[in-house]
Amino acid sequence: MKKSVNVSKIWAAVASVVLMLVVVQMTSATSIPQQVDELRMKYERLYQQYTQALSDAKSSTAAELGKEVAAAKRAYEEARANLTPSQKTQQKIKDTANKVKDSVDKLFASGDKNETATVTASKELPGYDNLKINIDGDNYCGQFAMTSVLNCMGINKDAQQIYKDTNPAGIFTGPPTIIEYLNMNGVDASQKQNASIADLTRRLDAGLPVMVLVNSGGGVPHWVTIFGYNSDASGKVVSLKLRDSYWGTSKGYEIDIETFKTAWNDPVGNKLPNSLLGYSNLMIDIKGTKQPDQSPSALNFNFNTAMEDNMSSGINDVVNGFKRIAPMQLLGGLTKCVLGIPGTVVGITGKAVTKGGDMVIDWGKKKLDQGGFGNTLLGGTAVVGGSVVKAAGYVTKAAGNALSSVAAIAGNFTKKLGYVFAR
Amino acid sequence: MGIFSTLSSMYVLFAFAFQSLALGFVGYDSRGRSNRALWLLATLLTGPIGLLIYFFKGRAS
Repeated sequence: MKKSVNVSKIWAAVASVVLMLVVVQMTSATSIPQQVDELRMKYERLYQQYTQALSDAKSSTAAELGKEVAAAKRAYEEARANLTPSQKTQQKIKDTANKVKDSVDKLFASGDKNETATVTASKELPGYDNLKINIDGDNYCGQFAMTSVLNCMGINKDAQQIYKDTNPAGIFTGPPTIIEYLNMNGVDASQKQNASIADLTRRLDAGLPVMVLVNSGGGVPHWVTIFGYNSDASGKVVSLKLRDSYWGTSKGYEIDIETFKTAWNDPVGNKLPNSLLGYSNLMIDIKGTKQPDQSPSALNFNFNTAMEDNMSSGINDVVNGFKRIAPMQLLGGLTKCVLGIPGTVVGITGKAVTKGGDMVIDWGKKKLDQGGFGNTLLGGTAVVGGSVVKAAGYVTKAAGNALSSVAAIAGNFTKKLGYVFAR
Repeated sequence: MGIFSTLSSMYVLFAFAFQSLALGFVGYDSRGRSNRALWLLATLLTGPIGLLIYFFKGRAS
């Protein structure tokens, strides 16, 4: 009897996984593109500001925001209407989701319920939860996160000024731009790729915040500041506390650790062009305060992501230098972009080769699973061959990073000259 | 992201187009001197800088 219950549990679990895969497949086929997500974020952010203004009884601000909210909502709904899946597809998704739900319910009903994590310990840095931050502009998550870090570390900086200094055109802010600004304003910060949850809690335990890049939905990278965490009786982290311009605009937001891990692991999604930025588990490691740097560091990049860093900071410097009328910053950005051409080509080729190797390995594994002499031979050869291709991809990407490092140093040095001679 | 996505994809496309043209030019240039393979490697690794040097040093007058 017990054996048959276990078998049914296993079947239910397998069915759930298969159906979930079907749902994922179907929903990804009809997913709303990134532009719609950005419009949604903008609408939600403005709506939050609007409700905040209403609660603060600022009638003039509320009226002004009310108009912006209505306009943002219209833009989002129009864009979404053009991309809404057909009735038939929606019904299919609904039916499949119901089946998944039934299977999961059956599984849980058979006694395999997961215990809800109970929070027994909590760590929270002071000042972050209720800090008021107001920025007028677009795509200012990096500036919002920097404002919280700087002000809560005792460095008074106006949020709007940070926006003007680092993102006047309202585009994505790359990690090197964030690090450069923090270092030049008295925060000792560096970049760490492939960081772990333990890296985050270590800093928080030392009384220091952490900035991380997460996926806010649809592959839109988004900066948040982590200022606390909750853990269970075994010491396992169950949730994190953050401030950001999306979830935690007016006060701290608590995010479940599994949701966070998924968003942190793949902040740019797998769709082009964002997937060209190969950031994963990226952390701005803040080690404390220091004497502010007088000029940008020439070595402001991480070798593991040098290609991405050079591209993002090059674009940031060109756009910001143009908007701020800062010739040496513009020249530095152009230097990074022009000298970064070979590194970008070699690095992206390396990434593509690595992905190709992964695909061959996956295909080989499937063949191995099918069994039989022919499949085993074919699958084994594919796995070995795919691994060699993957290794070649890693080497090529490293070569691209080395070439991009040279471009980044040259560009940063050019920008540095602007501070040394002209300021 | 704003226009960052557009700029980054345009930049990548431009980089690939530039390198393809540069390597094609160095590879098939009728005025190219000896050591074509080395010039190709130099252009692949240094991009516009390698191409510029090739114009001055790698072509027969």
